[in-house]
Amino acid sequence: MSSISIIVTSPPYDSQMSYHAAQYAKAVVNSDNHQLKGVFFYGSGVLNTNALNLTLTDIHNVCDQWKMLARDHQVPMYVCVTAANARGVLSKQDASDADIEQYSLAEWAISCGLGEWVALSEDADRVVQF
Amino acid sequence: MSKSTAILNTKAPFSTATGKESLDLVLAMGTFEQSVGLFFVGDGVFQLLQGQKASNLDAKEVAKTLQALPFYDIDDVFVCQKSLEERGINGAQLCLSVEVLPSDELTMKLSQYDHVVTF
Repeated sequence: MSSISIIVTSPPYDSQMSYHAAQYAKAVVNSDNHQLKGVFFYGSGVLNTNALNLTLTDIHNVCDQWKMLARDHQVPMYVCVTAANARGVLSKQDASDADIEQYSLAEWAISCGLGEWVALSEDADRVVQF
Repeated sequence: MSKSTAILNTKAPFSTATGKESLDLVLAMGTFEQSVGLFFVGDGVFQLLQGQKASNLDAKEVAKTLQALPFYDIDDVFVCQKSLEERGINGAQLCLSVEVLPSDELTMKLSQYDHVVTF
């Protein structure tokens, strides 16, 4: 049994990479020989955790897949708060602290610092980046 | 056993935020006493050039943070010799002391780390 942590630094829609990341994550959770420790969104990858991503109905929305992985497979989905805030992805708390009315962080994402990534990569036999 | 991580920088500074965000990750790992190596290849070597004036872009001075790396016990900084040569840069123009390595040694060094994260 080998353990895997995923780091996503690519944005949704602009790039195909986050779609591949979600597909890969799904394959890992469905495998008997591998364990997915968690997913960490960093850099432009934080845009995957924006709850306001809305695509046309005939275009696949990768954020729905992340949500499913979090809900159905209890995969922890961490997002770096600094990288997220810099890109307009704010939790309700972040927004209220900054006197901003709107917030956008998806409910399935866990806002955290880079220390969480240190723990996640330390815990994993393999780190896979998308 | 503690895992080691190589951070691979491949992009020039300022055009994207990756230089700053990779450095933030390196410093976080240093703070948590992780074994981390910093690699500069391709256009990533431009991040190390002396005399950059980030203030002209209202941006943060990357060189200053780079020079603080030893205080975080991050001493393993490796640069691709071929990338420097291709861009007409010599070691004396760099803003911190680094180990310049030929491609085969760089690859070998990189393979010694458990994880690699690329920016």
